[in-house]
Amino acid sequence: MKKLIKILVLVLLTAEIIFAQSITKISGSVSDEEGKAIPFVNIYIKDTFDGTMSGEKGEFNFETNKSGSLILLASMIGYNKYEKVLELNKGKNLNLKIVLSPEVIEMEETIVTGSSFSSEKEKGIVVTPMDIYTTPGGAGDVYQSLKTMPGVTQVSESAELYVRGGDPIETVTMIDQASVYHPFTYESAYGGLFSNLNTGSFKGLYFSSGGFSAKYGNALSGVLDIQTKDEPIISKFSFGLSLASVSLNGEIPFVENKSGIRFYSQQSFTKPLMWLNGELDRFSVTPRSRNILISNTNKYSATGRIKILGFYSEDKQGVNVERAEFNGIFNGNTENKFLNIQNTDILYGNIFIKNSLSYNSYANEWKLGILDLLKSDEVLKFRTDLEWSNSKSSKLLVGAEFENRTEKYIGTIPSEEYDIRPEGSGEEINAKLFGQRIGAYAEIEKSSLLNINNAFVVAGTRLDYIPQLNLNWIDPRFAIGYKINDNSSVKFAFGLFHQLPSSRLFSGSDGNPDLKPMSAVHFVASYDINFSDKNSLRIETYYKKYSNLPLENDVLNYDNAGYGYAKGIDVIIKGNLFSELEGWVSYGIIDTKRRWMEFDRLSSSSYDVTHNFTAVLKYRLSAFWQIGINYKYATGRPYNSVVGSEYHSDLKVYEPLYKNDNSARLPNYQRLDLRIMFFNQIFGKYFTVMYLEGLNILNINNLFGYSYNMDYSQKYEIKSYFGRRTIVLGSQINF
Amino acid sequence: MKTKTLTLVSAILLLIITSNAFCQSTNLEKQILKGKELLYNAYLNYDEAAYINAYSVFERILSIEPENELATYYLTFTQYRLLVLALNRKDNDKFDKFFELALKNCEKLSTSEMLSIEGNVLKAAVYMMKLANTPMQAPTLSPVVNSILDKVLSSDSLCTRALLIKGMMDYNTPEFFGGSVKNAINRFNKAVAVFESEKSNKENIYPDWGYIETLAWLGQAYAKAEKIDKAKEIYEKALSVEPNFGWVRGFLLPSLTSNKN
Repeated sequence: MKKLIKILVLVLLTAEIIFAQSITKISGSVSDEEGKAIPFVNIYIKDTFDGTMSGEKGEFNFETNKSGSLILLASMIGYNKYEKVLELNKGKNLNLKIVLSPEVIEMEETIVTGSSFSSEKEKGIVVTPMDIYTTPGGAGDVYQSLKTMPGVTQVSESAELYVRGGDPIETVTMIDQASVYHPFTYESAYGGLFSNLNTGSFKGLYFSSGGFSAKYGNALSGVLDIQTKDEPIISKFSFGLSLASVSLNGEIPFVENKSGIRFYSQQSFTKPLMWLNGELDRFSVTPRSRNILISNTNKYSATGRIKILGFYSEDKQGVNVERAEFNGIFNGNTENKFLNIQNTDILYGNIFIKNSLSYNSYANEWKLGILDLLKSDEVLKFRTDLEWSNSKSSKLLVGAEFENRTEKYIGTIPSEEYDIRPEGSGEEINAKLFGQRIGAYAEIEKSSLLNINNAFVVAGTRLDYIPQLNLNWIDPRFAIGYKINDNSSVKFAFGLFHQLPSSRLFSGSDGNPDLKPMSAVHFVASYDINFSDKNSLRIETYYKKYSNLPLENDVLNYDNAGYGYAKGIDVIIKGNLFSELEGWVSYGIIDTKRRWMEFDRLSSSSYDVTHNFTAVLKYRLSAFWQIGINYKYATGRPYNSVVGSEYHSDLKVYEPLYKNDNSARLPNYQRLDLRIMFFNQIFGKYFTVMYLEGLNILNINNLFGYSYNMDYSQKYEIKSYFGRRTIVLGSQINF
Repeated sequence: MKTKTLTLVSAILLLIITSNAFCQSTNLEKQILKGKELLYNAYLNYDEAAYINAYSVFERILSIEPENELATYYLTFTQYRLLVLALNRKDNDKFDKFFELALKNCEKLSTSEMLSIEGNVLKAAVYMMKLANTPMQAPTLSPVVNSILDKVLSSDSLCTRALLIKGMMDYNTPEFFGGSVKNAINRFNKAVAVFESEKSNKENIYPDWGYIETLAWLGQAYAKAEKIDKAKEIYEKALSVEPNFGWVRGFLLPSLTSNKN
């Protein structure tokens, strides 16, 4: 018995020693690549429950009785999974230092330049699709809504963006990496009235009025970068009807969260609207348009997606025009076709790639008196963008684009601007201008600059090359910012921007094929503060110096001796102003002068609208009723006054004599739009909205310009597009 | 004699080694219960560390059995809870990450015979959090959430967690978008009645969360409908079921009484 007890004790002790020797202690610490401890990391041996979580200081320790060759895993949200093969020998403890690398972040803009408005909070002042839809007087149009932002001057009621003293051609529009040079309907010599882009198709947008990234080239003043929605999640449709249009939109998933189709279609017919508002007499053909956008998205893998997007638009109008020498009908027709194929995916590791191949064909016909011009514009473009997030605080972006563009002008133009009569003298033109542009850029975005946690920088450069003209330019761009605290930051940006002038100025007959690109240097400084989640303020000051602008030359037709500047301050407050009142108030003051084209001295630019004030306010009266206003005030824009006339007996027509200095100004512009909206649900399911809108509700007499009698001795006012009070009724149902 | 001793020693050694092995056995059900309890306590105390601890448990289960549907479900549920935390703390990076992961797991669960309904409820809850984080997407996401829940409730009108999430949508959606406090109250009451008819079992490894949460939301709905006494009654009932319910004890009930004063 004693012997048995001795054996048992010996066995138990032996067992204890055996097990003690088979326990391995694994301890250590977890940190990121910069040495900062990471708490709550799950550290364990694969295929076992042996493990633990790291503590507040990244420390960990646990025991295991496993031995041999095993895999240790460490995982934490936001970091790549860590794996290490361990050789566990019985009783031999291990101490490990685990370093986790950050996971790739899907390519999102983190541009820190000032002057930006975006649909995402991180990029600055937020402009959402709902803002666009509910801006009174905006007709749900993105351009008309952007015109309520500071930095965009109220030069006319068209949808074109006059950005900080710049011509509309100085602002480029992109959709899913493709360039869209004609995004407007009812394009005429006075601009396009609305865009042909349906806001419902937008996933996000980024708009900058200066100091923008090296990603964007061939633009002197601004950029509007739109991303469209991806694959739909569920089927839904909406039907809209108003005095001016009918629309039908829908989205249908083929495979949930993997593939599907979206379509947006609209037919406008403005006759009922014009009749109701007593405007029928202005038109021989009331403006009408139709547009349709279809996109098909296919997510072929966890990270890869192909999107095919196409849109088609056409419009027609016949407007009565009164000129000194001739009263007639301006007929305009436009057709626009666009197709883009975009692919996005992870190329390798942390490298994200986006490619786009696009084609755009635009044709526009103008007829007025002797003028009978067909203009066409075809663009084929390929673009690639790569983004490498090499750490949590830095990102490298590179990209390239190739664009082939062909513009044609065929028809008859008046020999003299002042004589458009059908019997007047005209010139036949048949011009074809074509060329390619090759661009490339590289940019680095870095936060925690020089180990200063709140400092961030974006530095990049781009190179563009025009083979036909043997022209090239390099544009360095730089922005630096400092986060004062969680809610406020200051930013400074400067950069060099180049853009080719209008292609017709390169014509061999009446242009100069040796023209150089226009250039501008931007300096921007801004201060942003978020008072709360919803309320924000931005104050921004800027200076733009233009050079190499085209200027009329007696010998060369045009040279690059033109120059100018734009400087100003913009302010915007956005958010919940109090209680149920929300919206934004923006103000900009600008001083801009140019000497270019026909100007013989440095004068106020045609875009020198000194004061621009906008208030867009929406007030919820009850759960179902909302009222909104959009008030605009702007200094009258400059124009060349007529100081006399000269009679040409051979042509039997008077030529106006201008004081070419933009010294005259139209009366100040003011307009108040009012909208009342009613929200409801039909049959408990179908969300509907009905609205009644009064454009220029105060019936303020805003002018578009002046017309004259035959000898220019008397002038007459031309009302703006919405020079009279206009009432609109509309509704939309979602199902 | 020597042989007999040797045999006895070997047998005892073998017994000790084997029993040790049993003690350290990978009992998946026990681990799931452990994870469930961690989740429950994390919810009571609004404790991020506890949620991540629970997350670790389910991750480890899945490393052993990648196709374990219950572990996938609870991992997804933990991701949903972490979404709520990230939303409240305005941590957009974490929110986006958990949203992506949770949605992926919900897709996996949708093919499960056992858990497809619960998986779809979680999916609706995850989209509801996305809607709360980005209200501007309401026109797109609100129909998605309602469509998923309507499908679940049409096949199981007494699905408690679907009633809870649908009630939360009714409560939080503005009236002009179809929200209704009255509907929310009705749905919460229905869910409470079903919860109370089910037997509670601590060893149950299947999803059974939501009872005290429904009581908390029912109380809020009564408060919004200005039925303060009824709201107080419901909060006190929640505390009688779970005295450690931090949200009700530390915030909802005191807010109710201070507003009343």
